[in-house]
Amino acid sequence: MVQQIRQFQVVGRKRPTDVDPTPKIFRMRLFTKSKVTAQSRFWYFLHQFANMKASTGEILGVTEIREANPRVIKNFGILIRYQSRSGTHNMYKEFRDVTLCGAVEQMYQDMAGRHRARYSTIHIVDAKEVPSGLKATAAYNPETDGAVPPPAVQRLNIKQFLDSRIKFPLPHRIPRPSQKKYRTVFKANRPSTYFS
Amino acid sequence: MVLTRFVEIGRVCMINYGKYEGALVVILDVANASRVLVQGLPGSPIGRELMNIKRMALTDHKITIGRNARTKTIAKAVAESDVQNKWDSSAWGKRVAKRAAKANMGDFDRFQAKIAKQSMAKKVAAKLA
Repeated sequence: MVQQIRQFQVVGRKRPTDVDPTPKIFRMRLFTKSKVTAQSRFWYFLHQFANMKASTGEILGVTEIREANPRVIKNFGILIRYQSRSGTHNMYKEFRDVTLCGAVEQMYQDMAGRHRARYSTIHIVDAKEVPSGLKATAAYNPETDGAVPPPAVQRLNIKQFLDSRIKFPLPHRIPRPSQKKYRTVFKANRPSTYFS
Repeated sequence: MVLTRFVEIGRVCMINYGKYEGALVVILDVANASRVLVQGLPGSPIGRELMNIKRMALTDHKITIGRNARTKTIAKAVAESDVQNKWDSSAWGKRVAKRAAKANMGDFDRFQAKIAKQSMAKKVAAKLA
């Protein structure tokens, strides 16, 4: 599947008036499919936070934020607020991916699968890279280093992959035809799931 | 049934689905239970990318590299371990190459193959008669 979610930085403010010639400028990072949607979401959030909307404000700039290094796997922590059938909840989820947008896409897929939450009901409060924090957490001493522990990966399902000598077999492989056209309903022989 | 092929850093895999079917890649890092960061062997068009484990088959070959090794380090390790030659001379590698050669046959190649088959059949028939 082609990655669709991109990260945009939208900067906007209320239109200057005689009363307020230099209004405060606001900046938001948004994860959307296009620049146009980003601007729309900017106003959606801004009119909740500040007294401005698309008709009374102006967008000063929209730029796409590209991943600095898409060749290294990183850990991302995403804080979200989503609407379930019975209420709205906060959640913190972690994902390993090569780009932040990839991790955000994983989050949307995960939320859809686990909680039936759709894109429109999820607000991303914060999405950022989290250091693995393995060494830092081991060396951390609350008495000398303060009450706040160093930033680290929280979730066990991500922690289990933070191993520089990771190694696991693939014990049950489902054989799959290399092309769609080789798919058949019936096969002459029973499949083997060992080393397929 | 002892499991001898592992998803690990340095494991050489063959991609068996999609655009780069048949290409060899090296695992550089593991993202999760389904995705790994791979890079094609030197000379391959595949750059460093996340790929689904389901799209590849683990081979018996492995090179010694660290996590997220640089392209030059990978090239050196591949040359040292001679993976490309080991693959080409293995039964699996030969099978893949044969299939690729057959798929790339032109009309004249098919004609030559037909004549070769006929002449072989003639010799066998003569021997049996």
